Amino acid sequence: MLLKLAWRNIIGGGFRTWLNVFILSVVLVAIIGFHGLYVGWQRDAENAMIDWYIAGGQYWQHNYDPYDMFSFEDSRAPMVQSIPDADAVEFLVGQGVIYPQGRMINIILRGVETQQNLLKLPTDKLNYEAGKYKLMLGSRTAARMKLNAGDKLMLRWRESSGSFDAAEFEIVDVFITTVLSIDQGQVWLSLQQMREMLGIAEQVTCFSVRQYAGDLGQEWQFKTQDDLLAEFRAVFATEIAGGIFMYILLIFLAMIAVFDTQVLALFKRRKEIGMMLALGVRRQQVIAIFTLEGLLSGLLAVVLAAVWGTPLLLRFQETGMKLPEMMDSYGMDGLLDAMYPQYTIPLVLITIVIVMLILFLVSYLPVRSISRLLPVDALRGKMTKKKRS
Amino acid sequence: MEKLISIKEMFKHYPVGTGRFTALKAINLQIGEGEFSGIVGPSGSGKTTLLNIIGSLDVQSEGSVEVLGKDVKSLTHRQSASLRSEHIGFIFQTYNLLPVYTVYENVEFPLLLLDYTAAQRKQMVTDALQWVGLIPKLKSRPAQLSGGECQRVAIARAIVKKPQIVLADEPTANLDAENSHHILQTMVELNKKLGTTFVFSTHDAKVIKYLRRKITLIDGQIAFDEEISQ
Repeated sequence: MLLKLAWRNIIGGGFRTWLNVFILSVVLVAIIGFHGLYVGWQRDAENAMIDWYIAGGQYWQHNYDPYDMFSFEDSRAPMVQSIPDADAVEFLVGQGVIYPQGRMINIILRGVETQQNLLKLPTDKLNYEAGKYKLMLGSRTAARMKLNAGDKLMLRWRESSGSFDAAEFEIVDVFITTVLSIDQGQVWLSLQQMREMLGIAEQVTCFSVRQYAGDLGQEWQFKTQDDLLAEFRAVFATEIAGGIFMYILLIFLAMIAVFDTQVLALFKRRKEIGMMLALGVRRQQVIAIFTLEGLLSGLLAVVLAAVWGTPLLLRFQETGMKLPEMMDSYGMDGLLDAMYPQYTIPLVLITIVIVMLILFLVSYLPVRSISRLLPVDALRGKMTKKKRS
Repeated sequence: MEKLISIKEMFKHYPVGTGRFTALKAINLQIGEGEFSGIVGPSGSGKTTLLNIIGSLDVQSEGSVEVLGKDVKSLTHRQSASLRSEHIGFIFQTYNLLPVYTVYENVEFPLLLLDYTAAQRKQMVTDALQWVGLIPKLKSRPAQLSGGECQRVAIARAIVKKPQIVLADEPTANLDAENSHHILQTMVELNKKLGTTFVFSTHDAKVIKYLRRKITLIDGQIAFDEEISQ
């Protein structure tokens, strides 16, 4: 009966109902679209890190600390022979100094196996040729140092014997990636060339694998994808704090709008509430009718949002949101030219549940105070209970 | 004749500033089954307040008010709502129809609060609309009706559940003479046909002409209580 009455009120509300429902549907689509951007950003960034560098995980020589250059020389060990070549990409990490445009810049050297198809990193460009010094670098590093493919670059490094050596390298490629950890502050060489330069053989610092290859002893520590993504996720969590704030703000604004509409509607309908009480509708029933009205308008908004919002959101997912050029140097993984939103079922469901909860509250609270009135006071259009003799 | 309404030494005060205003003073009144009575008096004499207390829309400050054997002041909110939904029909001066409902839905509303089947409700609503002559308008909304038609919908809504008591507060105040006459004729017929007790609050001479008992309130007190022979 209550549902029937609430439904009659909703449908009978005509333009007022549909305006309310439309605004709610806009809020729902905006929240899902906006939050979907962050989910999509995180997904794209993590996928890129896996595709370009992490693969199915990495084994690190146990002394290796990517943030401590002093650890590099002590974090090398012979490559494990039991893993097939096709299932691993080896890295040798060291340090050097480059001299672009006459300046001196400390840089991380990364030797990488060139014959691999596990990672997207364009390592084939570095194919070893005796007597030829080749390197490649990411587009951000290249832009910062004003370097281009084909340029020559002086590189100085320290051999394992302790003596320094230097050579002029040709930049054979400037690759474009959204993965900052393989771009900023580093240059890429072929593994064989770097071993020659350092005067070491068969040694690597770490290697990416297609999948976990079991325990390789104390020398090698396995880092899972989650371990390797943990730092990005922590930074991302900080970055999206602003996004979450926007999400809360949007929901709060929606709540205010709905609350305002609801209170205004109740203000106009307080005599109606008085009439209901006079005809014998119990307080709880009045509250239920008006609360159900709010929830039904929410359900209608979900349906309406699904009708017009789904094609719009799917189109948005396809085209993505173009980013200005400055975002390229924003300092976050996953950002390049566009952000592509991703809508997950939990995201949609949680948004709907939150909006419905808000609708419940903003419908329930105002009517609760009116329904507490004596019917005669409600009929007279009072809004709150006052002490009577 | 069974007494449906029994009021003893009833007062109603309203706070005014630091003091209080007494709207009803020492009211003693009994109304029996099937009566067609009216509380008359000038504006501000307390007619509507008395009617509201009888209908348990308001509560007295002192004294006792029993309706259908129930002390209205001691009723819980739920009991009070049950009393109104099951036994009392209200007709308001300003109709108080639900604007978004059709005539049919407005009249059906009180039945939804009671345990009637859809078929029973349909029959009862049709009967009530026939009594007030509004069958052709059953799909109209209040905004599409004249004042007289709205009041007839309000009457149909009040009598559709065949209550024992109908309380009508200035039911003809917004109506012209012809509509007032038609509505009062309808209520007289219902009173005779169904035995429903009607209690009016009015200062309209057109209504007073139809009353069989006139209770005159002046300054919150019953000044006269007289039977009128028709």
